[in-house]
Amino acid sequence: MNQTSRLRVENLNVFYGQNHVLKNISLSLPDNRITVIIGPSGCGKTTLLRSLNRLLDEQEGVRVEGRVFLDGQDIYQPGVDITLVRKRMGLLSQKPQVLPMSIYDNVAFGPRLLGLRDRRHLDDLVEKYLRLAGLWEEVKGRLQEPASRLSIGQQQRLCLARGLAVEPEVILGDEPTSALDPQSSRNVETQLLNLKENYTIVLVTHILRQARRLADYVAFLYFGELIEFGPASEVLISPRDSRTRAYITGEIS
Amino acid sequence: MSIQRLSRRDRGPELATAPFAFFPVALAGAIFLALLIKAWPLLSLKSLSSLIFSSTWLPSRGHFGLWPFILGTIWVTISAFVLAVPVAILTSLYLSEYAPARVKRIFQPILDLLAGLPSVIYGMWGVLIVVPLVSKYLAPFFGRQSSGYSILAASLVLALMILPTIISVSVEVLNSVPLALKEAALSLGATRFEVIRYVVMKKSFPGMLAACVLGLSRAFGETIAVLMVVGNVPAIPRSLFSPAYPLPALLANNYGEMMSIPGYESALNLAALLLLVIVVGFSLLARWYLVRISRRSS
Repeated sequence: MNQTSRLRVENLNVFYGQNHVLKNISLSLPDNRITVIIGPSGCGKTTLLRSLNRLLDEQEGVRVEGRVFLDGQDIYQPGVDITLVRKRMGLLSQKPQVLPMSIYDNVAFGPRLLGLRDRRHLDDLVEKYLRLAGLWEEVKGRLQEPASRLSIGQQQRLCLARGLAVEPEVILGDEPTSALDPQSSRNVETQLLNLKENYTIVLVTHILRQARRLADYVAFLYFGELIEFGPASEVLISPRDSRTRAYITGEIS
Repeated sequence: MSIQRLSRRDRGPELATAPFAFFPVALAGAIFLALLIKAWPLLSLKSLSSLIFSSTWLPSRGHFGLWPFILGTIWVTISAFVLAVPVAILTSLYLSEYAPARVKRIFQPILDLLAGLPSVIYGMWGVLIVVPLVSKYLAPFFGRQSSGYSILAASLVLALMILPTIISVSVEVLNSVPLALKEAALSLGATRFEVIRYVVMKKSFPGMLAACVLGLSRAFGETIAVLMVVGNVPAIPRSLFSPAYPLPALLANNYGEMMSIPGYESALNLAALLLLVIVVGFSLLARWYLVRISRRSS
C-alpha cells in the first residue's frame, strides 16, 4: 500500500470490565480516502471508531491499551489535550444529535469554543460549511430557527456542517445514515464522497451495499478481531479470509 | 376519544372509570367552595383588600388584618427557595455529570429517604439545632439579636426539606439528556464543563424549572416544621432574624379554638382560601411559563 496515513492504530486492546472487545488491532487509515469498517453487530466496530477520538474515555469501566497515532502523536499519551484531539475529528452519530439551539448556533458552536467572536467571520464560516454539507440552499432563510425543526435528514447534514466547522482532518461516521430515509441517506453519502478529497473518512456501517458505494478501503471486524483490511476491490470482491467471504455472502451476519 | 366512537364492549369500562376521574376535579371545586362559603360572613362585612392589606390582627376587637401572615408565608418560602435552589442545582449536576456510579448508588436511596422523612422530625431537629445556631451564631455574626425562632431558622429547615425533592427530580431531568448529544458536543472539542453549560443546562432548563416549582409548592404549604421554629408572632417581619407567622401555621395553631370570637372562624377560612389561591396561582403561572418555553424551543 503506497498510501500515507496520518491516523494509525497500533496494538489496540479495549476491555469493558472483563470483556475483551477489541483484540490487538493494528490499522493504518489512508489519508483522503473512505475507509469503511464492516462486521456483524457487537463485533466492536463502534468501539474502534470511538477509540479514535477518545470518546471511550467518557464511559465508566472501559480500559484502553495500545496506541493511536494522529500525525505521529500518540493521542493516548498522558498529558495530551483530549479536546484538541477531538477538534481534529468530526463525528457523525447514528441519529443526528443537533444541539438545543438555532441552526446558525449549531454550526458556530465549534468555532465559538475556539474563541471566535467576530460576527462577520462567523457568518462566513456558517455559510461556507452549510454549503459544504449541501444544506445552505435549504436553510439560508431561517438560520435563526431552532435546529430541531429541520427534517431528520437535514439534521444529519447540519451535524456534518457543524463537524466540518471545527476544521478537522478526519471525519468519523458511526452508521450515519441508519436513521435516515433512502433519499436523505443518498444525500449524505454524496456529501461524504465529495468530501474525501480533503478529509480522511472512517465510516462504520452494517449495510454492505453502502460499503460498496463508498469504500476505498474496507476493514472487516469479527468478534473484536481485525480479520481483513485492504482496498475495497479486494476485500469486498475477492476476500482472502473465509470468514470475510462468509460475511459478504450473507452466511454470517 | 368520544363515547360514540367506542365500541359497545368498551362502554361499560368507560362508564365505570370516568366518575373516578372526575372525583379529584370535583373535590378541588368542593374545597374552594367550602372555604369561600365559610369566609363569606367576613367578606360581606369588610372589603377583601382591607382584610388582605391590613396588618392589625386583633381578633377580640374584630381586626382581622392578614397582611403579616401573607408576608410571613412569602418571606419564609422565598428565602427557603433561594437557599435551596443553588445547592440543589450544583448537587444534581455533580450527581448526574461527575459522580462515579458508586457515589450515585449511595446517594439516590439517601435522597429518597430524606424526601420521605415526616416533617415533624425536621421540625424537632430545627428546634434542637437550627434555632440555637441562629440565636447563638448567625444573628450575632450579623450584629443582630434573635431568639432564634425566626424566618431564617424556618427557611433553613424548609430548604433542607425541599432539597431532596428538587435534587431527585433534577437528576432525573439531567440524566434524560441523551449521552449521544453530549458526545456530539464533546467531539466538537468542548470540555465537560462547556458541554454542561451550553448543552445540558439548556436542554434540561424546562425540567429543572419544573423541579424547582415542585419544591416551591411544597415549601408554600409546609406547616408543622415551619411553625415549630418560626416564632409565630403576628407582626410584619423586619428581617430574616425576626419571627413570623405564615398562613399554614396560623391555621394549624388556631383553627378549632377560640371559635366563639365573632368573625374568627370566617377569617381563618379566608386565610386558607388565600393560601389555596397563592399556591394554585403559582402553579398555573409556572405551568404557563413551561408550556411557553417548550413551545418556543421545539
